[in-house]
Amino acid sequence: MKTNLCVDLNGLVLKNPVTTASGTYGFGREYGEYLDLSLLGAISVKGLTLEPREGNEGVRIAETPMGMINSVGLQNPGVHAFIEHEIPFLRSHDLKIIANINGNTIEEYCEMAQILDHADVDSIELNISCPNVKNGGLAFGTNPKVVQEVVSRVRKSTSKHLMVKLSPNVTDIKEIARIVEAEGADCLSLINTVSGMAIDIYKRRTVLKRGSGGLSGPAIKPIALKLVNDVYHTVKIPILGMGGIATHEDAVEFLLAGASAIAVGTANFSNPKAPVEILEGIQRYMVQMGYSSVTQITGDLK
Amino acid sequence: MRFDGFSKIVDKDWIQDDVVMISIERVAEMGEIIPGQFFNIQASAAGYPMLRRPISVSGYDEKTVTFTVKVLGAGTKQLSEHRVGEVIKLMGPLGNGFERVKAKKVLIIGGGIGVAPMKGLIEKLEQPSSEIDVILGFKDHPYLTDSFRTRCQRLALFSETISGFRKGYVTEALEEWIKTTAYEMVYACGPLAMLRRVAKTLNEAGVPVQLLMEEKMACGIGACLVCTCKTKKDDFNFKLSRMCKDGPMFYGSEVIFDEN
Repeated sequence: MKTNLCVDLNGLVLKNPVTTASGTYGFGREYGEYLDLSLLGAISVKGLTLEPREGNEGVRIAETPMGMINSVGLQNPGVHAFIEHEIPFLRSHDLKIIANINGNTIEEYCEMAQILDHADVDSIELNISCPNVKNGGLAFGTNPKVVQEVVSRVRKSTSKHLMVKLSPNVTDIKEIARIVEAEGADCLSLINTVSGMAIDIYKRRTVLKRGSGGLSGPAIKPIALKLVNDVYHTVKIPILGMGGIATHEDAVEFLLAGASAIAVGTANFSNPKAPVEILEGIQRYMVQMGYSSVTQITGDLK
Repeated sequence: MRFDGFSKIVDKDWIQDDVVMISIERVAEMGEIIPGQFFNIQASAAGYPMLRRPISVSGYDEKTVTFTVKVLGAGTKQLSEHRVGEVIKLMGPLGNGFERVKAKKVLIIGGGIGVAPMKGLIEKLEQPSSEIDVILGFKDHPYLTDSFRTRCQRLALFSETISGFRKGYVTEALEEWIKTTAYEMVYACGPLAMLRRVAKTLNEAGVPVQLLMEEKMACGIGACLVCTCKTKKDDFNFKLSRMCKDGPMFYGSEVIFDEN
């Protein structure tokens, strides 16, 4: 049986549903030495900012039960260096490029979207989990009014495919998802990392210098799955699902919960071949279960 | 493509209560190995702990690669429990490793489990064109010392708790020896406090030193950016280099040691 793996995320067409999550894959260069990047549906690149950032000093990682908390602090070469040095490399592979953007202010988000509007990227992923400098450092994505404003204004700044990455650290993700859809986003990606903390009991200090960070890995998978399912029942635009996916069984769970495509993140660290193994596993599952197109799995829960 | 796969354990030897030498088959796909490089090793096939453990190479020949593992936490404990004949999953060699430069007078400094990669280094330094002095420091019983003893001119052994060895810091011997010997290259690995003192002493003396640094890692290949080493950039700035990919070897003159 021939399996059709192609998915259409409302204008962003992927040859298969397996992508890699922003912040876990750099710009693909390092992993390109362990697998053929052209096997991936898309790469969401390391979170970009307007200017280059060195990221956080001190300890940036705490390993936790089946997960890790990171506090990298958006270390990246800046959007201009990305366009100049990384897009040509990524373009030499058969994959879609998702540019993940991060701002201190709504103006910065818009400026980046305008710059990328003229760049050779296939989608812009708006990370609304960044601290809002003008609002006491509270994340943009936690305040419905701010979400409405940032998505609306970024939407007007670019005609590119626009994906908005949702934070799980909110009271009601469904409300946020509805706003993002209404403001014209083409697609949603979820979930971002879950806020978490680890403490060194002998130093009696938090392991991470900044206190808390973002928890990722299999530990958050059940949370992510539930939120993907909630959002699936709330909006009509497609979902790129992620959060602790390490095996093809995990990936299929997300598809059944309502995701149209999935992203592999932290699993890359422990298994650089994870995306390829997951893709092969999805194909085996399709044959076994009689799905001819991967799109049929999305939301196919009894 | 670089090596990420399985290899069989061919030898295992507990050399201390909490230190074990594990030798695996050297797989062709691993390619060239440089002393000071490391492998990122899956602690358990069960997948817990989740992240691999970066372990430096403490020796290699055409057929085997040896790791000397100190049991510190759950990951290294699981690694140490593998038996001869079992296979482990690992990727590598990773990182830059030491630059083996031509030098007449060489000094090697190792502290604690940091002695392990220095054993791998001294076994691969060109002989007998260089004269090698060695300073090793331990908390308790010294280990892995034979490889150094047979290859060096001078050996100073420190132990904090065991009588018959020098007490104090390895830097005491370093400060004595650099007064009378013009070392052309120094190689060092050990606890951060030791490396900080070694770098300070040698930077002031104008002697080049290669430091093999350590940090908690995740991917091990430079993608995730969770392990950093603060290094000098231009005259007044710094950058956060990737410990796993740009290091783990950095020259003492380029590292910035913050006081916590």
